[in-house]
Amino acid sequence: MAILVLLIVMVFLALLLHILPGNPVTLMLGPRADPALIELARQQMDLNSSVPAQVWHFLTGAVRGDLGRDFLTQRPVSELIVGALPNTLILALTSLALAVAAAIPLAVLSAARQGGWLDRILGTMSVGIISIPSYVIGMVLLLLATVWLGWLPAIGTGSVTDPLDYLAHLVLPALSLAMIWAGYLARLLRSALLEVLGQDYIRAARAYGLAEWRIHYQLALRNAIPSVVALIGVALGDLMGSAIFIEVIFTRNGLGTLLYNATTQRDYPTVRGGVVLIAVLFVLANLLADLANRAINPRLREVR
Amino acid sequence: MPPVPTAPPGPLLRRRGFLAALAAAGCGLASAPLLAGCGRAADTRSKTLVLRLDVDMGNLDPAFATGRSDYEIMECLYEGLRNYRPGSLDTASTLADEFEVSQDGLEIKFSLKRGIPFHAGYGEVTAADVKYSYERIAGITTPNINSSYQSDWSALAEVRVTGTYSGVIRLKHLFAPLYRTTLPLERGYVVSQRAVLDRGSGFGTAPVGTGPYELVAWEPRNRAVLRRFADYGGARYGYADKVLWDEIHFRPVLDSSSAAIALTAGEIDFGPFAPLDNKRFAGEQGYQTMEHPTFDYSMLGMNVNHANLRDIRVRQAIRSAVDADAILAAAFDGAYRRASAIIPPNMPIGHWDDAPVPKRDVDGARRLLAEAGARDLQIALTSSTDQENPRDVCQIVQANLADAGLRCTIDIQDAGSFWTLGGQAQEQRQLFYCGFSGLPDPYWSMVWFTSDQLNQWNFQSYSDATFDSLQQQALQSPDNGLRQADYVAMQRRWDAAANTVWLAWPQVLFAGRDGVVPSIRVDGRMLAWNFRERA
Repeated sequence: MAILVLLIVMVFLALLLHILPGNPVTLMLGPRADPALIELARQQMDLNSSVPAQVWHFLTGAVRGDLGRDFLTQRPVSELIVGALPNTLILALTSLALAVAAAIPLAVLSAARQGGWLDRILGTMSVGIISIPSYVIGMVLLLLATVWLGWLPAIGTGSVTDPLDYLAHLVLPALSLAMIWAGYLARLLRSALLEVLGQDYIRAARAYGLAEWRIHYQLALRNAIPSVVALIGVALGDLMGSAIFIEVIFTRNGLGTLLYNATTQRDYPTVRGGVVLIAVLFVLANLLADLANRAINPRLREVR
Repeated sequence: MPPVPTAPPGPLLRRRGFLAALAAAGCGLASAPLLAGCGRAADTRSKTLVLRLDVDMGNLDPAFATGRSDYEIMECLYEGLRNYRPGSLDTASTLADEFEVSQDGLEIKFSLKRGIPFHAGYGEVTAADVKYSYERIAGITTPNINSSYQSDWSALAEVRVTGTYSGVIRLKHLFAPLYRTTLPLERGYVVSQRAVLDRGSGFGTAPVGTGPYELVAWEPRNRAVLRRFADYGGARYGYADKVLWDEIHFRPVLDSSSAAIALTAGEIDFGPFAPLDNKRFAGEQGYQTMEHPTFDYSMLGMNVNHANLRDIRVRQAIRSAVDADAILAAAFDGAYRRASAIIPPNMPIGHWDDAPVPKRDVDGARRLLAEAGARDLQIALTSSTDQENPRDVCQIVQANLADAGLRCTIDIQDAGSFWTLGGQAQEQRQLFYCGFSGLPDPYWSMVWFTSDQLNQWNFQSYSDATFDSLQQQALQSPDNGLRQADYVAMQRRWDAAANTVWLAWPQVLFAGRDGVVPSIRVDGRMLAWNFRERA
């Protein structure tokens, strides 16, 4: 199934360039390029081959680790992606970790005080945050933390050789992405917790005098969390996609800005390599989420 | 003794084990950045200038550079035989010790300053490097590198090397823009032949020049770091002071608002900004703003081949109905000068001093439309996302045309689609808002409107044999007076065709901290190497 998804993505990409209006080569080469140069560039990018041939050439190259050359910089696409991907992965995973870390106490608080004023406030906040786009949250955080308070840097990725600097550059972008999923996961987890908290064994635990925090975090949460683990794969894919806006706003080096620049410049080899990689990561993330779900939910395992 | 029952074999991965592994992985990931830098000391801070670019660096090879951002970095890395003095339309000798143009203009004898080294230990500049640098762009080396900028050197026959430091540039025919655009700007930079051959296609991101700075690091979409070239030969010191900065960092910040925040936060020292963002810093203590003219122009063009716009009275009506002053005020915040023709007044030659500046005349527009039988005509207005405030401009035009009785639909297209439509799509283009960039010679402003640019960049579909012939005449004329007359005549003919509403001659708006004294090239590019610090 994963391989089929990837093949469909590659065929779609090959078709897309023919469907999109405009000549990608003309845009890349600029107004002074003559027809001979344009034709040469089309040959270099394999644009004169049929769609199946383009997909086959790309596949055979990708297997060898050759994703083509970025047309503007003439650097291997794989090199550009390797330089950009870690920053985007770190951003997406950090955002996910922050979202989960925020969602759990929010969900437990809401579920423990179901119907109360705290539950209503947290519910309204969660829904409110879900409806705000991540780039709007990003701009607000930028103004707050950088301009008004001066706590954190505004732009850039920071340097990995200076870990505190790197972390400082990561905080605002990660928060911008995390808040929406924190609200979403909190609502889902709250619903799952309410279902679990209604079970007989929870009533029995209370009757035995177990502390409420142990009931919520050790008993109920453990049984409610499988329902959100399945979403982790979706969340990761969404976060990688949303990272584009955040990387542009915060001027972070990442897959998002790489693809954004390549798309506006019609740098087809880089667009193709980047999109295929995102598809691979999305498929892997969902696969991992499925495996994780099976691991923590015994009911999904095969009966031997 | 009965066998001891053993537990049945279970799955390899149990839930507890999986959750524990997940928690450990999460901690490991979170601590990776912390661990990565353990034990490395921070660098001592050097005198560093941080400048904003609005697009990331693409390719720093003069034969393949992609645009403004590349040019601003290249100014620090390369030098040519002659370059523009900072802030002036005059050129001065840089690498050339002697530079003599023959009587017929077809030969340029040059000799180089001795002992000017290239970066990265690639030896000193020789005439062979000059030959290689120019001939490769012209497309007369083997193999042909197929540079996009062959037209800059289209007149080159050869560069003959007459000695280690001397040579003759021979031209096939006169090419007037050579002295204002080709030689003093990017296509006149001298590269190390050995470095280009060594580095191949990687030269674009690992360039070697003779400039006062060398590229030491490029972190894509983050920054380009230039460090002072310790062995700099001083070719520019005949007309400029010694460079001040130890390092220059170019930070690409795509979003102007994010860049404004970065300037406020002290992460950028200086850079270009959009008008509204620039306005924030005007008059603010600790900041400075400035504007610098360019050779660019923005316009509302009309495709004369489209059925809706074939009648000149319709085009004249549109020209009468559009309120260009309102567009300048509303869409560009009054930051730009109103244009009256193609060539701006700061161009060395070619400006049409008494070009008409039409005043808005809605009644006149209605009259013209009635004569043409074109009341209630529907016009499609297109623009591109990479233009300045396309939505505002188009909405004002739409409202203006509605006053005259024309219905107008707006279509803001992706830049790639807008600029590269050809064939049938190009024929369907009607009214459009866009701008073109210019160089310090009017040839480059006019070249897009000749007949051989039909279906390419001549969006107005303007075809006039006299216009073409004047362009060719001016191209090969050595006399600036005659060229001036030719370009004015071309603009008159263009104006008579009524296929354009001139909007603005855009300026580059800069903002930065007060302590920096900027240096800007004649075409609005930052000369980072020449920035100073205010005492």
